[in-house]
Amino acid sequence: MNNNILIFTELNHHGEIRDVSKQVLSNLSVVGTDVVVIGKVNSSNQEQLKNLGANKIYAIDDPSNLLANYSPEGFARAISDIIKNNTYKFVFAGLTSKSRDFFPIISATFKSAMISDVTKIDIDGSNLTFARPLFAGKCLANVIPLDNNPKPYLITIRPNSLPVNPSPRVGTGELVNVSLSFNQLRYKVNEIIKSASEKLDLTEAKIIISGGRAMKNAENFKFLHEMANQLGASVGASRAAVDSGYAHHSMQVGQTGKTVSPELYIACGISGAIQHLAGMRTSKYIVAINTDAHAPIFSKADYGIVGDLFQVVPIFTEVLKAKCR
Amino acid sequence: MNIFVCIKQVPDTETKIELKSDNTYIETKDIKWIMNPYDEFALEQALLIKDHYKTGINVIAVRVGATNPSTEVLRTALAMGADEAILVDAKENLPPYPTALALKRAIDKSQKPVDLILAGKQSIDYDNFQVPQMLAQMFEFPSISQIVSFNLTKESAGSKALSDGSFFKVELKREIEGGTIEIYNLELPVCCSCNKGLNVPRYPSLPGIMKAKKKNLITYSLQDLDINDNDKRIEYRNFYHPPEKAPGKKYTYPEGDANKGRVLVEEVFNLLKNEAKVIGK
Repeated sequence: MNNNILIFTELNHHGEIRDVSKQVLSNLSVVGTDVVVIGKVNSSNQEQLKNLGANKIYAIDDPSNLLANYSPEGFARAISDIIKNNTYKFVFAGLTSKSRDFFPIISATFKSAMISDVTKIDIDGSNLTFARPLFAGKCLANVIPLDNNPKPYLITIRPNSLPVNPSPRVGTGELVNVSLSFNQLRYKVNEIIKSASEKLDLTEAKIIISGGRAMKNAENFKFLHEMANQLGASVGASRAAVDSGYAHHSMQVGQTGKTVSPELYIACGISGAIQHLAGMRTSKYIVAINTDAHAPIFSKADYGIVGDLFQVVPIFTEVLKAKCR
Repeated sequence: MNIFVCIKQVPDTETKIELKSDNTYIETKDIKWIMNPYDEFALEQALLIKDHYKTGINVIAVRVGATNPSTEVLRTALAMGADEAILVDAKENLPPYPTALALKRAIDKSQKPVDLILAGKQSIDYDNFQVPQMLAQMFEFPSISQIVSFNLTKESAGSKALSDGSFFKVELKREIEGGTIEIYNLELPVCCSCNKGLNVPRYPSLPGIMKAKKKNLITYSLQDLDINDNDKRIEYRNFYHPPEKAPGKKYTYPEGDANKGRVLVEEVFNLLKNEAKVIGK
């Protein structure tokens, strides 16, 4: 069977299929997909990929560990080799720090267009059209492939924007081992400094607790971290908090930070500037805690608490300790 | 050394976005245009290099975009300290692939050898995060995106000389998900996209603004660069606003009364658990 779609699938550092890859796979299973994985595909991965709709599963064998660390050049060339030898119309990936970085390199390699950060796929037979947010989510637009690409369109899907399809069409799950066509890279990473935190990146977190200017200083973020630990949440910040030096830029949610779509977003001491709302408005549920009853954040909140975060957050943490055990 | 800095003009972050009546684009008439904030970090990095080496550094700002209603950002770039500017008048906001192609061909057409390309990691209007990596591939340069540190050193020798016969090494740090840092040690030329945290962009000075008026700004049309509709490959249609949320529930915390406060917080907890079903699963 000839599939139109290839999906770059990522494993997490425990060797399991990443949630965002499951979201992409299960939603596209109705049209039939092949999958490419860089790294080892064990029998449980293979079974799971098959149940998520994968037909061919390309496992890129890397005996000299060229791709053991991420390499923009290496990843782009490895996936380009699969694309070159096939007739895919679309190559998908969940939007991660890797796909966001190297997919455009593939795009330029083949003179094919790419569509980033898609939040909706419309499937009409073998025709696919997309929608994506613009201006950090202040509006959206449909994006139509004009079918004049020399090679496939490259598409990245925003994490948590497509719910996992609970009953995907099962694929054939045929494992195809592929050897790398190259044995050296022009440039590669020289050193990696791992973050101490094991927490999920904000863009993939299911729950986010963010603090704003009202946090008053960096140390007070410990109240948010204590609450986050009870929920398995990641901690974010508003631009005001980042610019005041209370939080690192990697924590910033909003138009000049990260755009997030968690299941639950808890905004503490954040008034809700338009550029902040743009970055978190697609969260499934929003809780706002703020002393100003007229703060714009309340217009987006499902549950608002008008009050001082320094009183509300510690009590919330206690309630969670008591009830989530 | 020639440093090319890619610059986009975008609506200010505080802009409320309205749509054109036929939904083909956003309404642009009341928009305040600014330099894409991430491009400011790229330009500042180029200017820091120029400040440091004093001579032999030529900074060229390149922009692809519509000149109506405004062309101010390239003049701002010149006022901040760029030496020259190239504008590709595109009449409309182009998708990333033809934008990267236009940048490539405009840079080639300038006939200046390319030693370093800097750009913002993404534009804050379309958020594609594509153009710098595409451009790197088109020039066959190493592509390092979202850098937070750029440390340049002049060398007496190396494997490849720049256009003026000099050799430069650069240590680049990029931050990836979860706060992990990757460090690359490379020789120029490279193409980097810049993230917040790299530096603090300067404001244009008054003498800078005066000088900018006399600096060279070249304009190319898309026809000059042999770019046409066929290079677009995708089309944006039907712009729309996200659906508005129904008003939520709002409570007032009983200040200073921890017992009543706890009752209220428990109520919100129960709603999150039983109504929203997002916690305590």
